Amino acid sequence: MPRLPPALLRQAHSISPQLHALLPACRDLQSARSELRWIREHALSSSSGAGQPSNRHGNAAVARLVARRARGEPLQYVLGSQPFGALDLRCRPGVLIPRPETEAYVVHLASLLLRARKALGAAAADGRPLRVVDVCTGSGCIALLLYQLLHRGFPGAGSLRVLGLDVAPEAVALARENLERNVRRGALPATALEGGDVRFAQADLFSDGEWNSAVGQRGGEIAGVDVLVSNPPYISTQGFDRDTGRSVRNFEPRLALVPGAGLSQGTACAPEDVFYARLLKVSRVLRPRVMLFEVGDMEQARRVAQMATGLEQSEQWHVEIWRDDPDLDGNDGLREEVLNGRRIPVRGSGHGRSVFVHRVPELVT
Amino acid sequence: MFATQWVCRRCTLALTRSPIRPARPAHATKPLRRPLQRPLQQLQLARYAGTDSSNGAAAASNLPPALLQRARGMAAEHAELQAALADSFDPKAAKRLGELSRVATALAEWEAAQSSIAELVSMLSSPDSEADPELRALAHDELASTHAQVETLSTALSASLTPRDPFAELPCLVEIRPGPGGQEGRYFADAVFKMYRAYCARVGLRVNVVKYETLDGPEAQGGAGNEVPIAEAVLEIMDTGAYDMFRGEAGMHRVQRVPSTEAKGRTHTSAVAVWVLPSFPETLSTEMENDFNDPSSDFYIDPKEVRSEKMRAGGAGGQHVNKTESAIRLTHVPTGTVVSIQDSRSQHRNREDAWKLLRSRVAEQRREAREEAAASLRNTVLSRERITRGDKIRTYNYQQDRCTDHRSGVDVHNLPNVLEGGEMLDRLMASAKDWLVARDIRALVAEEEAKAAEAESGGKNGKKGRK
Repeated sequence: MPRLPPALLRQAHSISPQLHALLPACRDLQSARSELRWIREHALSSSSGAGQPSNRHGNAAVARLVARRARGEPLQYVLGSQPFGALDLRCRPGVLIPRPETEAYVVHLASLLLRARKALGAAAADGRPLRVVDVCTGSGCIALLLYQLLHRGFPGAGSLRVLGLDVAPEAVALARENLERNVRRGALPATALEGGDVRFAQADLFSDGEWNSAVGQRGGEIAGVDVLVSNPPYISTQGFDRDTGRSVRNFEPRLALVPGAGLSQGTACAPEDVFYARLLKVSRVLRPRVMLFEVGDMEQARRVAQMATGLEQSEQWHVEIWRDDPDLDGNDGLREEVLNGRRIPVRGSGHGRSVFVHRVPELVT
Repeated sequence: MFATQWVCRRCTLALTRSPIRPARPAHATKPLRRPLQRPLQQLQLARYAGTDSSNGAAAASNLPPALLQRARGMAAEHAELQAALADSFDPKAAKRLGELSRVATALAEWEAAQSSIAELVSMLSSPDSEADPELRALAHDELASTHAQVETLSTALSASLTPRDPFAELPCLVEIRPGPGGQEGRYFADAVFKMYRAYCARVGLRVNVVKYETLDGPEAQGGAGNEVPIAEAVLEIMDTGAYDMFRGEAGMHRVQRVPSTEAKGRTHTSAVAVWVLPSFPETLSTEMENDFNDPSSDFYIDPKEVRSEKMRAGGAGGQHVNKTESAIRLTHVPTGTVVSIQDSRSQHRNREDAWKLLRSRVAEQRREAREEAAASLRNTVLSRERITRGDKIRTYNYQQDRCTDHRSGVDVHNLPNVLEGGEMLDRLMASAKDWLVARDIRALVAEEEAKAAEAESGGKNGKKGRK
């Protein structure tokens, strides 16, 4: 990590010593300034609940938070929350912090699904709901935001059901907490909680028994799934040491970032791609119509897209690669990839971020 | 003689000129109107001695016939529409009816007052009343109060005739930017920002800080109090009708003071630009929603014409990093308007705020362009007095503890109270609003007169042409 120029540190100190303290963690003055402001606002709003505290008390609270952030702890853990779409999600050590890129593709996916609502809702006409499963849900961000964005298009309790699965019990607990918190704040409708429209369960994707019982079998036949979404761990061991940010490496759970070493034994794919291979295998049983998986970069996106082209009845499946912002034009001429002799459209701008696989003709744009 | 220690010369003049109201004349009803009306007018002159005499109330006390004619025409249309709507509903006609009803009710009230005056006068002049002194006294009292009522009613009537600002009902965005003048202007921009925020807190308006961009510089060092040099601040006032309340605040605010950074104690003059833009409430009414998607509306922006960019952290992104900032920049290509927002931790909020600001700025630009065109068509009355962003509208002088509104000519002392958004700011804002209404009325009168003159000369020309 490059050293910060002493002039910059001096400048920060002349503005405020707290800014100077934040600078090594934030790396530039602009973001240090913003973070200091958010920390101050947070200290102000959390203390104002208990009457008017003395100024000194507020200052001490700010100083404590600044000290934690200065040690490199992610701001989201320091403040205990992260806005995600219209939701406000709690963040705790041990569970991955929701990323803005995730927000971008979830919003884009939701707008596509709403546009193709009629085609997707055809199944719902016979009383069957649109079923969404989010594997490796973590804080519950994808599951909750998808429900928030889609519930207007699928009105009535029980016509949209979202299930979030995670192997870590602390993640499942946090996701449930986030569900209750956002229902209480009015960001999510009450049906999400009371109607059981959104549920979270602990299940290991690699254990057939666990996810089968979590997704729910009826009379030996697995109830279908319409949309399968996942933001699984996808960083390689070398990538974890080399490419990740310091606050990510030191404070976020490795379990959510790097696939376990034991999982790739006996498979042909790279260790960081093992979750995608497993998800595609599971999809043969669940038979989803739409799948979206987050990936680390364009390289990985190509590998996952290639795997997806190998699905059964591959001519039915449309595969796309989405970049960081699927709805903004990249203006760099990267429009498609050719894999296995098939044209794979590449949408948006930024890094390769997710792979979108579906067999709904109405979703083709 | 007076309870006060001293009275300024103009007030003394005004007071001495007005005759002490004579005892009610027991005879001759004809001159009765004058002594009642004159002191009122003159007192008003005394009140507005500091400003130009053609101010709102004074100008409206004798309603120009051109305006009256226009009001009658509109009221007739109102009645017609009402009759038509009773038979079949037409949304367009209903909308027009709503616009006209303001004029129609104001005119009806004014006419009612006029007719009651006529009735009272005739009652006084009738021979029966001679016989009953008690009734006479009652009628006199009634007449005096009705005259006073007519004053306010005719102001209301002329105000209702002025074109209603299309954005008046909307919430607004107040944008504050330092003008030329170096660091001092930036510090004062913060003072202005805090003034409006405090004002809203006192009056009970809901606000939201959309943007508060500080410049690199020591905190709480320059300026008075805890001022921070700011590059741009945007305050959203979320209550409906806020645009109407704040539209008089747009313009250059000048400050004269000794900056704390000034070593030699010289007074500096710098300026801060305040722009007031219409904004959309969070929950759109259906009518506004239509506006939103209607290409002819000021607020319509074709999404294809907007280029949006996001600031990305270097490196791989995704799970690899957790950045906290999500800046977004929108560029409206046809007008070259650029908005960038990064104030919130929420990407979603930043995006919404950026769109809101862009929409408001483009709408204001379009309206200004339209008004510019309209103003150049009209005669000079309006164009001369139009506030443009370049004109100073108010001066804050710290040494003299004074704040002056240059348009209404109102001076208030107790500058700290103004900067705290106190009652003194209320007075300044009210005076600016009165001035705006008076200006609109004058423009309207000028327009009507020009129209009448044109019609007359056109008629003459026509006759000549026929010859």
